[in-house]
Amino acid sequence: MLNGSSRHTTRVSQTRLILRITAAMALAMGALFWHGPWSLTALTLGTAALAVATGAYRHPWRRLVLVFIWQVVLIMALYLLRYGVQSLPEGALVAWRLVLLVLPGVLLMKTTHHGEMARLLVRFLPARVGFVLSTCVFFFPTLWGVTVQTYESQVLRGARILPRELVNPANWGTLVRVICLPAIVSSLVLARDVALAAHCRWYGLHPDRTVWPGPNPSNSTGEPRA
Amino acid sequence: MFGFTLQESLFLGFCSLLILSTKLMLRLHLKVPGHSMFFLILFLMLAALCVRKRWSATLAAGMAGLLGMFTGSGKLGPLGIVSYMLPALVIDFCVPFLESHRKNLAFFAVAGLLAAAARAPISLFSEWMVGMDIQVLFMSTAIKTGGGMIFGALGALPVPALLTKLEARGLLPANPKPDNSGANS
Repeated sequence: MLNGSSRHTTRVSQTRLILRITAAMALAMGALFWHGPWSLTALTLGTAALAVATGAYRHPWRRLVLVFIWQVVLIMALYLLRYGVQSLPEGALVAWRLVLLVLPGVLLMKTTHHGEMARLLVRFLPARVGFVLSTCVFFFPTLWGVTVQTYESQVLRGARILPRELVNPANWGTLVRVICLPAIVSSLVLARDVALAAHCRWYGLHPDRTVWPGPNPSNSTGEPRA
Repeated sequence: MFGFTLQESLFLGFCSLLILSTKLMLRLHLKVPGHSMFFLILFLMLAALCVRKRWSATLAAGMAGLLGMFTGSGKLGPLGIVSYMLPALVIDFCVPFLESHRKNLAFFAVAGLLAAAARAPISLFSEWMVGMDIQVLFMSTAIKTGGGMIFGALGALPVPALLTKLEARGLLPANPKPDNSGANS
């Protein structure tokens, strides 16, 4: 939505996506449950193969590596603190296994276009869930625009909610009162209006997906066609 | 859908999108660990107490996890859904107590603390399975969830005041919504 990943991801077919998801889950489960003698090597090779197959090396990976480095350093520092220097190799192995647990999922998420993921998931979810989710995403910019306007108006009124003033925790109460409350009120009202509009268009008449009659309805009564 | 009217499902969907967008915005400003729990607990509690049905916070959290996966901020994928749903389950469990003690801020703070602490089992379980030593495990979980628990308790504090304001405007009926558009979905 707000990140720039869409310019790096290419679209793949749904079967290849399912294969990639299965492979990622198998690798993550393996990192969790398989502790045999060569497991770490095999899992590392498997993850590297997944990275190559999904084309992850083309992506900006430095920021990702930064997040993982923080976690590895934290774990090794804790081992150092608790047990001293001789436990560092063991700590490094544990940290590497944790990285291998999270890495396949991250690789998959970063390289999959989110529209593809959405389309795959909506196939398996009930139709109403898909409708609610897509409607929410469709109407959310309206809600967000109202919230941004409210924010700017409140700043002009003198509310202390600029980012540099939010570092002071005393201003958080103002933020909640002045932004969150109108956001909740707007979302309540918007939900009621959208639901009313949907029910006026006979939402819920059929259990499956239907389409509201287009510009040239063949039947003048306007019944929904499945 | 799952016993919610279309209006309630849409409201929960909007709450989940608000959770995701505030989390994105906060990531740009503050660098304190666990700060995203402030808005998470705030909006989950508001969602659960505005829609007085049984699993409302869980549904909002499930939608937040799914939408997080759709919009590309889902670092963990399916595990992200679980990490939203565990605090929501705690909140759903606490809703009857919170509704009968609306003026008691301490109850809300404790509920927020517990809900934020509900994220601890995920990291506990995964680090234990990975083979981390028990004491290091506890220390690392304490670091990761400690900040979250403080922000969770803080996030629960504005909720009673917000609820009284919403009721004063007549937006929250005492019973499940009478002003919906009629049909159940």
